[in-house]
Amino acid sequence: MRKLILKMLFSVLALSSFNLLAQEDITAQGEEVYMARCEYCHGEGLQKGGTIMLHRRYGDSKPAVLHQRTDLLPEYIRNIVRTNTPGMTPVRITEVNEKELDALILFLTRNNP
Amino acid sequence: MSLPPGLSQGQFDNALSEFRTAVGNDWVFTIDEHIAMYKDYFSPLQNTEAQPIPSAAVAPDSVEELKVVLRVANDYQIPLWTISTGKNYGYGGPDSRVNGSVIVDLKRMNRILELNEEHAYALVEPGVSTYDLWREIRRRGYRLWTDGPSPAYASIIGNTLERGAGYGLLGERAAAQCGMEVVLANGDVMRTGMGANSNAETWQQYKYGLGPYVDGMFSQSNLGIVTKMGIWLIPEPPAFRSAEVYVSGHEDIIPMIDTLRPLRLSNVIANSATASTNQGGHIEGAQGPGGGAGGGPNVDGGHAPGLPGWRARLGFYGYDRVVEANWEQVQDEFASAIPSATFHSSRFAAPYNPDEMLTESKLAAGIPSFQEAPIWNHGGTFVSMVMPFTGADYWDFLQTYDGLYQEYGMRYMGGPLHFHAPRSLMTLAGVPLSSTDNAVNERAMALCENLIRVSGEKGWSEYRTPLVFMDNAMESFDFNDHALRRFHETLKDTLDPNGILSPGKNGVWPQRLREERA
Repeated sequence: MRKLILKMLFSVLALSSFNLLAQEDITAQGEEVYMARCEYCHGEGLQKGGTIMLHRRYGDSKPAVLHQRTDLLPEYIRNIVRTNTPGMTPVRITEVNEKELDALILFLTRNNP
Repeated sequence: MSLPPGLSQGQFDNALSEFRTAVGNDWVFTIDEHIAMYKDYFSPLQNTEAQPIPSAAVAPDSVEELKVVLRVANDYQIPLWTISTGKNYGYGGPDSRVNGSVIVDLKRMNRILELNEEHAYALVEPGVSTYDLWREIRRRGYRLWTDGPSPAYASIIGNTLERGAGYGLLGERAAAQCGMEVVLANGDVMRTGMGANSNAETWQQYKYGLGPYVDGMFSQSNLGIVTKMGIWLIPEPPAFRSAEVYVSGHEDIIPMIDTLRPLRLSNVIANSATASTNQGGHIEGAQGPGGGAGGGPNVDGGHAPGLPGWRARLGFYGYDRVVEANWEQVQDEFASAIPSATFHSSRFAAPYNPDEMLTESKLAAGIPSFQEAPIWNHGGTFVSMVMPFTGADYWDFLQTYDGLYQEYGMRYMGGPLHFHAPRSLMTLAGVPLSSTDNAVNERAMALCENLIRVSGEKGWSEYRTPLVFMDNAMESFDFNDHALRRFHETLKDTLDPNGILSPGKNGVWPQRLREERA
């Protein structure tokens, strides 16, 4: 019985660490999507359009650099990416596919409380 | 949802099912939410029924898939509209000209097929952006520079085919193209230049091959779909100086241009220099495109404008002593022509660190950027003219345009000017649009049509034009009863008898849709 419990405990641990690992992998993939498709406009630096716009909008109340935010919700990100917003036209599925968008969302929400 | 012209819902459903077989279910888009991503949100026709709505978008991943898409379009006589990344904003974005067209989205074909450091070139597919290529060069540690437009997400093939402008040593983008693979409307796959010799290793090294040089037929064109293109790159220079010349008087633009011309013609200024007004590009109150890469078109929203001075942006590249000698000579030339001219410059040397450069320097070093986003809040449209490279001609242009803008309650202060095609002058006039007020857009359309018409009479024509003005702009190429357009359309009817490829592109219509001409 003890053996069985240990075995079960071990499988649960293995499974969750596997999930954790998978999640880290996906977050890393999301970071790559961000670096390839978002960073040139939303990254750090004085002259990036997205960063300029977000600074104008939020002042010092929120970080203007997107990957420093901790308040972005998955559905909000999805909506901004896929629909037209001032200064940012829709990012098509051929540019960032659904799987990549899921990974991107995981990356951008990684530090959310 | 719209349908291709002349097709019933049943016929179109059959065509869609064949498209799905060709490219896979996931890559045929028909629902409104997806179609909305293929809309140009900066169109003067936005929020009106005149803006064409695609019936579907199809995204092939290979030449083989594309050939099947073309076969289906021919079978059903469906007008297609091809985009590489669809970011040609200010000129139409991903919009088509015929309602119910099927968008052929080539973004998935995004492979960098070859990157050659020794001979300084790349062979790319349509989905590769300037930023993708720049990143890959850095990832491999190659000592190569790219060139191109400021927006990092622009397709290399798309922008080059549109004959766009960069800011460095290969800023005349069409001239940096070497060799193409083209899929013709009948599905035949052709390679141009040396690529026509299957054994050649010089496809990206010698443009012309033998016989008629046809690459130009596929730029700004609807005669074929370019699926591969060679693009020349620049060996990283040992030193680089990013420089600016300032003049304070509005009329100083006349001697500024006349001083630039001989320097540009003799390659002392070897890069695609630009000039713009010195008011920082963008005047508050204007809603249209301004500021950004080459400086702003300076459309004023209506409040009292001052008459701005100007700045020219130049780049010097190569061995340190040559760079310094050229820049000193250029300063001497400007100082003697315009004694009040002032100068500013920054020197950089290999290994380069982009983080040390401001946008102006980055652009001249071919580093894709994206400073424009805030400017595109409401959208705008461009009128871009080619004219003689003289101060007098530009002054005439400035007075003419400001006069016409004033008729519509706006002012035109000038700029930006591009000197990428070194023997001519290219001007960019932005007209602001509104995402909420159609009256603003109607006024913008009327102004643009007037600008194009009056320009044509003065011998200025557009080097590139927004979709909605393509027929107007082509109209100004009128020699011998529009012999050039007749030639374009003879080719069109021969190479694409069903008229499936991007009908109406630059005013070239296939026979069966010719009555659509505005």
